[in-house]
Amino acid sequence: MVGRDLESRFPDHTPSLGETFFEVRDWTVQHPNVPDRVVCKGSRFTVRRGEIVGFAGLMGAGRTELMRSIFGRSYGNFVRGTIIKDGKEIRLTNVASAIDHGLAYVTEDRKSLGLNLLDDIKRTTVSARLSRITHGLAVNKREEYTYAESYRKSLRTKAPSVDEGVGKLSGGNQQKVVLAKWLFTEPDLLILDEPTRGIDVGAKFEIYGIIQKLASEGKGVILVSSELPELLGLSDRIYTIFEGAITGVLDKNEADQESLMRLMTRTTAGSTKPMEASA
Amino acid sequence: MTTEPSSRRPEQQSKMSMRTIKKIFGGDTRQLGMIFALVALIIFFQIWTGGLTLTPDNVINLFQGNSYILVLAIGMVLVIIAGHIDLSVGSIAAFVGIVVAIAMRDMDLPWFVGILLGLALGALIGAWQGFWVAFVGIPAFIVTLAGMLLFRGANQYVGKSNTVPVGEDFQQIGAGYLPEVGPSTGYNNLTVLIGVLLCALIVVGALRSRRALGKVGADVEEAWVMGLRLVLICTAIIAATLLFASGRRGTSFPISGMILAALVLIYGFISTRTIVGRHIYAVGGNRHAAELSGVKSKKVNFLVMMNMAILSALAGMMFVARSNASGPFDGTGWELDAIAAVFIGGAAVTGGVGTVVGSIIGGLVMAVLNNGLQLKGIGADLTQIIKGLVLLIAVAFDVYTKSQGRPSIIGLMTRSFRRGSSSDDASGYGPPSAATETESVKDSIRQGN
Repeated sequence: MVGRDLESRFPDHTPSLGETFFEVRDWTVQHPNVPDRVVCKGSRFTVRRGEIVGFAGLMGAGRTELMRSIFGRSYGNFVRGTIIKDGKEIRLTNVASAIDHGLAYVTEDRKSLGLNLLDDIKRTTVSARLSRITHGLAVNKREEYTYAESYRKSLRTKAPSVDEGVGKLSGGNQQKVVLAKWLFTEPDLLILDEPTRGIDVGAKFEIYGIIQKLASEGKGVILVSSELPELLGLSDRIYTIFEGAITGVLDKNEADQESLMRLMTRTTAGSTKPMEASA
Repeated sequence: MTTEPSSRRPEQQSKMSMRTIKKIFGGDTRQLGMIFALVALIIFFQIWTGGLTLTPDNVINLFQGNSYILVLAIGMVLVIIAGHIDLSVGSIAAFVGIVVAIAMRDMDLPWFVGILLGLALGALIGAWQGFWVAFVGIPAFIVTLAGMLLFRGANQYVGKSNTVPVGEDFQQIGAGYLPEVGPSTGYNNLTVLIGVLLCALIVVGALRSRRALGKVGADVEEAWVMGLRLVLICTAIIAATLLFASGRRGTSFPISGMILAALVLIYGFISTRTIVGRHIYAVGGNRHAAELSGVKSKKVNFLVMMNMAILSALAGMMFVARSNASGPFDGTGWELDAIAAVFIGGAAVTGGVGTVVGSIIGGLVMAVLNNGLQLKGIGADLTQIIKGLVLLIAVAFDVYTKSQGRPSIIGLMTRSFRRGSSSDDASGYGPPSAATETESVKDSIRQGN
């Protein structure tokens, strides 16, 4: 990872940042089985339109837990916290309401949480928002095919047709189908949890391009990644998390691997107030 | 479909006719195999019984005597697709049957009120079982095992283990026929009319979906393939129609068969074309992924269990109507017949796979087998042995072709088919063997759950 030339691994991208449209305040969540354990400790962060916001942290720091609990409380027991989107507070009590409010979450575990591997590309593509192509009672198969095909082309998914089973695709192409599924929901905020895990270099580069393109379309993108070069290469701003608490935030130009690593491994940070008494 | 290069190796040339067959019948391999098995079984018994199988009386009898099992199979396939099982269907059918019979006798209810009462009771029982399965999270196997005991006992408690007869108008839903109308043609006019309408519907539907998909550039099959398939289907429907329509005067296509046909159409539509149908497959295929896509899996599980109980209630009433009375041992062993039909029809134990039509075909295979052996005077003991083996072999055959990838008849067809389509893609994604891939898919799903 370290010592490689970072520049050529990412497509060129000039960010065009809009206003802050998504804000999470005082987000506190308990572990689903162990109530004493707080997995998100009063987290606060913001996302601007067109911005790629990175989240850095060690394995088990609580990044996935934070994102999934925001995404319709699909993880843990909600204690308190507010989500403000476009100036209004929204309550996302389940995944369906999160999707309705324009959130999308691409999971880190594609095979067991992201896809029904028995299904084919076209049905997967439309699965997160079937209501969009349902008229009366029936799902419109023509629209299903048209949408699936257009996403297959625009994301350059390698498959003979959208009738192909997603279980037969390679990791990179499966990830593109997952992305297509979430783009089909027309989200304002995309949360990408380890979007390039288990994907070959060529497909990674393509997915970086897709992420940047989404940002330049004015969507907010949250990028959770364990690969610091990836975060540094793509993000406009990077939050760091340690043991469930946000320990700092760095701008693109002030962040490097060393400064990130320092924030990722300590409980207090200069830019935010101390979260709790540390030993 | 891909166009074949002319320079195929000779061994693959011989497989091409297989591919053609598969193209004509469409659908998945399993269903194709089951249709062939059903046809072969009918021909076999027709010859063996010396023409007794395909007589109007026998076919009508076969439908009337199995329609309630097939109704159960429709509900059961949805339960199994969602990854559950329901053992209580026979007991629920018996309990609803006795309550409806007693209510109609003591309160002098008209037949349609009796049916509505039965369906409402089924819904209530379904809500009870669905609550435990979906919201408390107790495995359906346990909940419905309890239900099996509970409602069997309730049947005998309510009926005091007696048999309660039902009125003649109620008997129509299990033993009635389409009425004779119009000029005397030697056939039952209504039956013929329905058969012709069904053919027209299928042809129009196929043409419309072909045109719609063709417009957006989807792969559409060649015209002759579709034409041949439609001719085959319509020939089969017309032949069956004439068989049903040419029976003794006063008999025709049974009302229970009409109920079944309506349910097949409705549930076929629900399972493939509606949001809730898609959600059932999604939950059964990968519950966690479904939940993270906004599917309310608890609601889906609740609905599936509730629907099963409503269909059980209907099946129970159809049986009571056919046998003129409700008894304490109605519906014994029905759950196993329904489950067998679903698995023979291609559903997977792990969930996420199965079709309504497939289950009906699976149920018909069992029904024809049962009927043919009865016609030959083979005892219930041997019949059970044969049915058990058929179930085992049908599913084993499926597992074998999926896991081994070795050339069996059907396996060969699929492999050449899949290889043909993937070889066109030069990018070389995916492993070469379709068989091992299916297995790895199942593995990863098991891990996911």
